[in-house]
This record gives sequence, C-alpha cells and structure tokens, in this order.
Amino acid sequence: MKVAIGLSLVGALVGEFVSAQHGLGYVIMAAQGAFDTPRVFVAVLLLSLMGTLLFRMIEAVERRVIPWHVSQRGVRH
Amino acid sequence: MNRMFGPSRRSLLAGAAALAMPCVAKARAVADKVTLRLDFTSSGLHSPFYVGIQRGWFEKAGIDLSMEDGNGSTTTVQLVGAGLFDLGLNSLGPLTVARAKGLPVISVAGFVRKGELGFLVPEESGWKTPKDLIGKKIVYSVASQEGPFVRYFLQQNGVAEDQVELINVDGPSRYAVYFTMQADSLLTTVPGVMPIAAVKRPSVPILFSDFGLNLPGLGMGTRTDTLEKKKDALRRFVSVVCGAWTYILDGHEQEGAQAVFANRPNGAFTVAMMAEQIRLFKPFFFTDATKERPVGMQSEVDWTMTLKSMADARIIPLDTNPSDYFTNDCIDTAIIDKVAGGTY
Repeated sequence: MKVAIGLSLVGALVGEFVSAQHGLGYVIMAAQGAFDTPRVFVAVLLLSLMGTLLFRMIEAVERRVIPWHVSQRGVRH
Repeated sequence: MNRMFGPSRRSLLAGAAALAMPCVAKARAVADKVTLRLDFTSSGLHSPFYVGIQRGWFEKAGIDLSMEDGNGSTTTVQLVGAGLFDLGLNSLGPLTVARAKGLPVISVAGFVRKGELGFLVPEESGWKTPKDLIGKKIVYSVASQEGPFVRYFLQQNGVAEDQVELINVDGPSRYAVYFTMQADSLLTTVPGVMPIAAVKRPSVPILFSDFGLNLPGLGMGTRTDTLEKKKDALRRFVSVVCGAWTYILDGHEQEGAQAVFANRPNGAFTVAMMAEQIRLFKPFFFTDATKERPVGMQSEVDWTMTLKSMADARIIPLDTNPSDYFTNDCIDTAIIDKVAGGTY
C-alpha cells in the first residue's frame, strides 16, 4: 500500500502530462511551455508534499488496522 | 670547428620551420565544429541543411556540422539555452519567451517571418474566423509554442475561454486526435501540417497572423556567449543556410525535399509532401518589412510588433528592447548571394 500510493501519484501525474485540462501535471507542462521555472518548482514541491503526506497517511492506517503485520514489528504504538 | 661541420643554428631553425609548416597548414584547414539541434524530426523545413551537405557548401565554408533531431521548439530552446548545442532551429516564439524569462538566447536568423501558427479546420466546415470556433472542440498542446498564446488570441478575437472546449494533449498526439475526428480544430504550425492533412482530413487554416497576432516563426537561435565565442563560424554557417533557403525557394523545392529524403528515408514525410511543405511555407518567408531583404534577415519593425503583442498578452514584460532579442550580425549577404546563385 505504501509503495502503491506513491506510484498512484506518479501514474496520475504522467496521465496529466499526456492529456489533461487541470491538475499539477498540466500546470508543470504549461509552465514549462512558458519558461516559468518558479511555477514548475512549486508544482514539484507540492507533489513531493502530497507524496509524503499520502505515505504517512497509509502508514498511520496500517498501524491502526494491521498492528500485527510484519511491517509493524518494532514500531512503537 | 663545430660550427663549420655541424648544422648551423640558422639551418636548424629553417628545418624546424619547414617541419612545422604542414602542421600550421593543417590546423588552418580544420573545419569549425557547429552543433545544431533541430525543431522536430526530418521535414521539408530541414532541406537547406541537407542540400548544403550534399552540395558541399558547409565544407567549403569550413564548417563541420553535427545535427540532432528535436521534439519541439520549446525543448530546443531549453537545450541551446543550457549550452548543449551551438544553435537551435526553432520557432522564435518560445525563444522570445525564454529570453524574457532570463535565458541568455538570441535569434540569429528568421526564416518564417510571417507567423504560421493557426487553427486547421475541416475544409467543408466553412469556418473562416475565430468566432466560427465558438462551441467547438480545439485540440492543442499546452507545452508547445502555441500554449501561452491560445487563450489570449481567442479573447482578442471575441471568443471567451468558456465558449470553446480546449483539449490539451501531448505534442505528437494532437494530430491523431484531429485526424480521427475527435476534435473540430487543430492548433498547429499550419503549412507544416497541411500536406499530411490533405491526405488524412482535408483542412483550411485560420491563421493567428491574419487576425492580429503575428508571432515570429521558424528561425535559428544561439546563446549570447556562444555567439561571442564562435561568431565567425556561426556567421559563415548561418549565411550558408540563408543562401541555401534562397536557392531552394527559387524553384528548387523538389531538390530540397529529395536531399532530406536521401539522408533521412525513414522520416514521416514523402518527397512530394516535403516539397509541398516548402511551397506552402514560401509565402510565410516574407513580411512587408522584409520582402526586399535576404532570407534570414530580421526586421526591427516586425520584432517591435511581435514584442508588443506578447507584452499585451502579458507573456513578456512591457519594457522590452528588440535588440535584446535578435541580431543580424550573423548574416553575410556576400555568402548568401554566392550560395543562392550557385557560385559558392
């Protein structure tokens, strides 16, 4: 799940690169075409934050729902 | 005694000089390397390079040319701006935007001096003005050169953004979307796509330049520091290319297309299509301000108008100076005349 949540973000972004009218992928492409470097980096930073937040969210859900799982061994509850 | 029987100092110097002479001559004969990034894969617009290679014009000019295909003008400008190539063949619209954003690039030749951007619409539609596009689906690519201008152009011509459906897809996909009838109109460089549209979906253009937005078309750009460092070589190369264009446009379109095909037989276009591309582009090579000037030479009047349009669209700042964006220093009319006249 933790791996998949990051990959899902990548998938959505690549989809937006190919064809989208909104979204961060669209913003990156539009900013690239307009040589708007600050906007590109803001979008990339937001994506990084989203990725980190989603990863932590899944981690928190795993801690509560499957505390017995091997991935949770050694994790303080 | 030693001086009488051994080699004298003068003869040693003469011998050393004689040995060194071929090296000096060889060094002078070594051609200057010029690296060029193209706009796209092979098309009729690349004919001056291949005609120049076939006829040995670059060799005679002392140029060792290395070319690489591109995947869009924007990327070409970025790579040239990063110093990875000496020159780029690209639309001058993205180069202008890049320059305004601080990339140290400058246009050294303008070939397509009348803006060739526009909407292709189906031949049978009868649509002739931007207002005819109201309620229609328009496919375009936001990252391509037209991306920053489409909304401004529509707005200037009385079409609000919510009155059309703009479909953004990646560059190469937009053609398939239009040719398979999934969109009513395609925003693109019109003369380059017309020959393939004639086969896939016969179309007519609604040009930006006919409705108040004349953006600069195809030209060549370089970094300002590259221009300083390699000015002589770039001047010879650019002038030969301008001369080659003059030669091709003077009734040698077929030779131009054949030269591209001979070197790049696996490209997307046939010889007939590329010859047609060149013929369709020909009227775009001249504006009122440049009709008496050699191909490649740029006009301050045209650039001032272009920069004003871009500033009005808030794409570049208002206080722009045309001389920051273009130079004619790489145009040598003597070379152009010789190449165009076949006496080079």
